[in-house]
Amino acid sequence: MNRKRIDYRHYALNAGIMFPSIFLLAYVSTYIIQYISVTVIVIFILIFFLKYLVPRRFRQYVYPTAIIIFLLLLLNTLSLDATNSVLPFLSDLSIPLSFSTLSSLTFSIGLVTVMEGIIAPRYILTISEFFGSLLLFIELLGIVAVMLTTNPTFLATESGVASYLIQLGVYNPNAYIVAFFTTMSLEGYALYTLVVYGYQFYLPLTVLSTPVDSVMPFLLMVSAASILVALYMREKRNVASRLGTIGLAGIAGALVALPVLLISEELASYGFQIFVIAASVAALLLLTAVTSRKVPSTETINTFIK
Amino acid sequence: MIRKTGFALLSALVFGLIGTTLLGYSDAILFFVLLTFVVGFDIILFNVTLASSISEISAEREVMKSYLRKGQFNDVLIKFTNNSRRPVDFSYFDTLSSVFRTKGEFEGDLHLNPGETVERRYSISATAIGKYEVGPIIMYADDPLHLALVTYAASSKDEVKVAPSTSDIFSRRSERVSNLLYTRGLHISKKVGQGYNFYGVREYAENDDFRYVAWSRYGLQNGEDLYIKQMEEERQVNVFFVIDYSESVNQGTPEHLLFDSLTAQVIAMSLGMLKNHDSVGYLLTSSEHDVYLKPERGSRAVDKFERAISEIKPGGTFSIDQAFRKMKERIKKQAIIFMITPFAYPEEFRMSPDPQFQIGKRINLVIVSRAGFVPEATDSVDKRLILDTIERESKAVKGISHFFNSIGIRSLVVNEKNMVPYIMSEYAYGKVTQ
Repeated sequence: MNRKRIDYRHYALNAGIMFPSIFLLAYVSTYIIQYISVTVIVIFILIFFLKYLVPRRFRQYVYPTAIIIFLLLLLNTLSLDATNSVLPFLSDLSIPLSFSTLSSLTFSIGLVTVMEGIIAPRYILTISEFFGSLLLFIELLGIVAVMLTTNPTFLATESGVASYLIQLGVYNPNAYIVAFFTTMSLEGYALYTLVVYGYQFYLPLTVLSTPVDSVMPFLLMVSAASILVALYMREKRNVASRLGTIGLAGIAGALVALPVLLISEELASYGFQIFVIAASVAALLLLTAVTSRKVPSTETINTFIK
Repeated sequence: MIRKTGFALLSALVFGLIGTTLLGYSDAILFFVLLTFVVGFDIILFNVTLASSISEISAEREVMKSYLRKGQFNDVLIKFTNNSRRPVDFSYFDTLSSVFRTKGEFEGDLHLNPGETVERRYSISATAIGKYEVGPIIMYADDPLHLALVTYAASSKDEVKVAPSTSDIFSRRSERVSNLLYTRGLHISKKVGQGYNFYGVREYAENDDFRYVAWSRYGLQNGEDLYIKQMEEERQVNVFFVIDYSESVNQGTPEHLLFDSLTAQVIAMSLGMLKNHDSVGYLLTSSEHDVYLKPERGSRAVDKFERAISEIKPGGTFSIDQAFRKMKERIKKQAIIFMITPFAYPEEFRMSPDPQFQIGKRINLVIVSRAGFVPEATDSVDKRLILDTIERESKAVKGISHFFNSIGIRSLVVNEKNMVPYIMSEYAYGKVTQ
């Protein structure tokens, strides 16, 4: 029997692309692991392995099935809370609706995304998984940054959030819960002020610093370099000209992106950073859509003859 | 045209950008902004350069022969010319039916400088009879990140008509000649009448032709009795093949199709019948096709049939009512009719004698089992399902066969291997008893 050879270079490159996410996963987990439910993480890891243990044809149904089962359990739990009268065996199937469970879900989704990204067969999937997981871990990094802070403004916000949580019935909230709600409320407030007044309020990671700040540019560069190497290694046809084209796209992209970034930095003090970035990205997307017109064919593609 | 992957990646980037901007993480903002612009410009540059140039590539195809036999290779030449002012890198393929086997460059990658012309040659050989399209030539190119794709269909379509292969027909015929299965003394249909061959004598009756009196037998019993000679006359019969050419016979794999095997066997049998100096006619019928070839003697009948089947492909549905109506309208002479159908479409039958089926001809209903034309399943579940379906269909067609036998139409369910023996034995029986 011919066994397919494992391409270790492929997984190494995927790991390179996912490097910032892997690093952030390791970093934030040291701070928040004590506040989250390990059981949930283990269940997610088991689901991930289950996906590769079932026959190939059922593989695509593993995650949707897991989501459906989770939603049914949630429905069962809510109905149990609301009515107190369900069938005897269903009462054993309730899940604890606690903040710890929900936080564990967020963390576990990030963890599974990282694992999926490393073993993804196509680099474009890895890149997509990388963006998804990076955003999730930067969010968690923001929470960790608030947890670690001694900044008076943030401490004041935290104490306000803590008192709100007590009013909401969350007694003795731990540091993670307070930091989570602080970050969320600041983020929400930034979005609110942006929409209503046209400027932004506090941005947690602009004001606060974390120990990873110094290594993040290096990690992101490793990821970008891995993407380029992956492109070079997986390209089969016209390698030189195609890499030339992407090089041109890189230069053109950088030439436009750098002024945008400089302007946004300049205007950050007036609270127009998001506006500048949003406007430039919107213009880019518009240009992409306008140039993406369909080439008219001289023939319809139809091979059937009556 | 931006692909779904492109949309997904751009959406992920914008989402990441919004998230990191709201968190205010400058390193990640820089990373996401740079990547968004690089990806965006990759698509834009592709759209304004390669995607717009590809429609200026002209492609012409030349098919050497439009009529060929199954298994025979036919050369195809494609010429690409770059009429744009830029060098263009693209891939191409010629759209071909799954019945074609290919040799050579029917697909590939090309780099064309402005004004350059390149030729690509390949050969095609069909594995089934019928009329097939070659083309259009599809040219496509994508950006280095595979986020956008441009597809351009150029050049008109060509048609190739495929007749049964000579090896198929002749191998069957030579087999038959060698084993003498169908050639042992059944070349003619004998009838007592005016012929050259002596059959016997009988007693003289009034109005008998005096020329045939057997004088050698005169007075054999009582001295005055007269006998008359009886002669045999040879008669040719008309054989008619009514073939269901609906979508139901378009089954099997490209290498082994039911209609292909069916028509090859019909041709082989026709050649055997023509050798017996009988006339052979054909009716290819379905809701889409109505090809009638009147009974003829000699190889012209088969030639016409070959041409007819090479110009059509099975299509539409089949109804036995319609087929009988067509037979009633078309077949006026006495004939042995073989109606060949897999009976794949639902029919309603009355248990009482149906005048629709009484057309005064000898009809043999040959129900072809489709069991041998099911593509092999790799999965055990699919295998089980296929077996179950075959079993159900087999039971259903056996029931239909019983019904037709009960109303006086000879019928049998046959498979690919025993169809020829069954039809030829029915043909032999028909010749003797007609």
